[in-house]
Amino acid sequence: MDRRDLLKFGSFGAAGFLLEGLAGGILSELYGASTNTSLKNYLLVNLFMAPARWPMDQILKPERNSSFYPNPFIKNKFSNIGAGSFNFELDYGTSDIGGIQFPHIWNYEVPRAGGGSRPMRELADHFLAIRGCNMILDGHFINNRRLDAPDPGGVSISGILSDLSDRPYSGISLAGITPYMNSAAGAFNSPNGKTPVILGNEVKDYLQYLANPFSVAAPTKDISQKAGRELLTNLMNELGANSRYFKTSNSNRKKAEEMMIYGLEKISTEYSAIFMKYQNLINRSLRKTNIKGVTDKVIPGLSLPFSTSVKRKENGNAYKIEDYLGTYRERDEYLLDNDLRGIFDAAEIYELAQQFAISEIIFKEKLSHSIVMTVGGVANLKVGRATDEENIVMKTIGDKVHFSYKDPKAIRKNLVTDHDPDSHEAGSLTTFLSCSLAWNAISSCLLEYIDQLKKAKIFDDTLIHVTTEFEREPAETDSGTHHGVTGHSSTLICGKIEGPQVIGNIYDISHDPNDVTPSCGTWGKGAPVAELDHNEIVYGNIASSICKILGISSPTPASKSLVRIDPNSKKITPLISKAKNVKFKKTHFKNSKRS
Amino acid sequence: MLSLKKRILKIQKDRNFFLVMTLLLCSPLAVYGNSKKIYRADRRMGDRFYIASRLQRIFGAESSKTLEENILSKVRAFGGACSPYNVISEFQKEGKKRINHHTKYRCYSGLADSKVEPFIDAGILRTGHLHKTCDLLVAKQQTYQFAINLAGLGSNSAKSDSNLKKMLRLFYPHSKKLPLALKKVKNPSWKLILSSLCKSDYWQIP
Repeated sequence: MDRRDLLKFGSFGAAGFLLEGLAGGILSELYGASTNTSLKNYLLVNLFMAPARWPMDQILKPERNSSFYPNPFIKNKFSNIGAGSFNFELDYGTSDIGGIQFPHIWNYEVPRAGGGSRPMRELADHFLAIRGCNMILDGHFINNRRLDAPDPGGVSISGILSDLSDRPYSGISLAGITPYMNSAAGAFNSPNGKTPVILGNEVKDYLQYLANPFSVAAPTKDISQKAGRELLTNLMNELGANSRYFKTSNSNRKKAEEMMIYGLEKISTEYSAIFMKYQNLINRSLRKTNIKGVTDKVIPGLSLPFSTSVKRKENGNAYKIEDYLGTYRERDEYLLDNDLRGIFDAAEIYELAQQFAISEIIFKEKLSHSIVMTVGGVANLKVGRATDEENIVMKTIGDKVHFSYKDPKAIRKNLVTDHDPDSHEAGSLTTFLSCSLAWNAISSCLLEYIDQLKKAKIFDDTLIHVTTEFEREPAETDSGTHHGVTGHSSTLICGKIEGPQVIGNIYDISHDPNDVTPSCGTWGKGAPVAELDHNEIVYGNIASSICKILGISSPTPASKSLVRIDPNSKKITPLISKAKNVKFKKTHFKNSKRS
Repeated sequence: MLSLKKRILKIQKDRNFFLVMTLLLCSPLAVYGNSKKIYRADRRMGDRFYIASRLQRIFGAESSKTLEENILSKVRAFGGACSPYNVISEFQKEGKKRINHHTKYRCYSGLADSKVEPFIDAGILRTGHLHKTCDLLVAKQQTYQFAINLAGLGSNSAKSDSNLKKMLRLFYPHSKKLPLALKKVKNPSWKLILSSLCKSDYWQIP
């Protein structure tokens, strides 16, 4: 190699390093492009482990005359109930709100803060449901994380928002009692490397956790004076002058100093009152309720001995115990209480009150722009009597099958359990009851939360996103449900949405042989949408829609937004036509680019 | 006209040139072409064990309780699942009581938190915890005195350039240049200077 070659190589090498810096700068700028100048607040409420949402906010029947095929599992009200086991009929009921058929429970009222009640239907005023989204991948944890970071391993919506935010705290992750890294709360990933504030299950007092670093101990006050801050500022400017870390470091220091002056602990009394408010709403929503068609009458548990006709599955296989008796199953236990309503007398949704309380403080006090809240299922169910399958004897005599206890003394008493939102092993009755009451609690908290946002005049600038990783597809029998990854739905609530609205098509009945339970009725499986080149909605579309509303760049720019923002009124309206329940056609799969 | 041999050499050289050029230009794009976060040596901050160790060295054994409460227990702010240093020191039988020697922080036999990331970029909580820790350590007479003595100074030592450098080197041992900020401040106390140095971020980068 001669000198000329050395110069050539050297100059191209230098160009490479220049490009390195340029690329890094471009990357961090890429997610900074904003479609409007005011940054919005974003609250993601992630109902962890995919609970059944047909008693909650899933719109399976958008219009009165929408095609709907009932399924033994997908029920949300009692049409009648009598004494003894299996002496009831469940139905799929609706509540007409603005021409859209919401689930049955929306007919009724939820507890109001301070006492009394209020119509649940108020939640529909600014409500947009997006249904029929194909998540493509199966798996709780990957899909949970995709709710915030739609491209696995990529940047998250909360991360992009945090990079643009000048508020003290970057994204706040409220993991509750769930494993943090497996949920949406663990998916925070900002292009500029910001770190979220994580409040996991080891944190007892959320406000104390946020305030503690900035509480100044009395003996040190003389050091934390103005002179100290000035010296530190000048020192940092000099020491970090050549460090690539300088900008972040300086920003953190300034924000920490602001928080010390602000004194978050001063609102600890107010925080306690807010926490008690939400805890009270949750308790009244879960315990000793009297919801018509749900908990207004005695609900007898399983009682043995019991006999019924022999049944077989579609493939000819014989029914097992779980197929016959699964209605009363919760995890490994069959519930035997005389009145199943009693098991909810001490029910809880752990951490939910703290999560809503701290979320209210954070947005009202402008401490962060982004909160991801992971909500667990209904827990602390006090079961008086239960038995497991090993204690049940099944005998087939002729065309009848008989069930009895192997040993009545082996019946377990005073059990404490919780509803498994991932209801593979929870029957139609336990699922319907637990999910209905969970929604009662969540909607009650949401309505109060929205009231507070309105009082603070920030509801128009706040997007609340209620969702799960995917929906549930019923099993062939009453034994449980499966993952409905082809039918995810998301609920968006914002002051700028004139609700209720619902978009996204689903099949009235799918005969797709790839389904876990083909032809099982209307459960929410995504169907093609004309405006998306006759493809189903995918989560990238929902992510782009959320980012459109928040005024930030989408982490999935190749997927179209499903909403538009009116440039004058700032109202949010759908870009695709109203939701339809479509007929299944084999040609749908030939035409779909995602098949 | 070039001879055949020279022509072959030229072609080889051109080919090598284009290969090297391609590699040089593509490597930064490959590195930055996706959106994954990359740990960089100048951005990666020490975990809780690193920070606690350094501060204990500067402020002495009496700082243990403060460091426990404000650094070691703040797992999500500082990162660090468990301390590997204990394993090494056990084998070496150092015999000195260091903060990381506590069994509960050990890898493999302690209360290691496998869900915690090894390195966490700084955030406001980390900054807050560190500032609070520095204030507490400087305010406590025993720990302050230890640091002053370690720097080879006394509470009444003059604020000369050489003394300021001694203080600076507690946190920045390889620093050659004295920051102007330390010289410019009017009538600073050693406590103020020590506290400010402690709170400055850059010594936390291992």
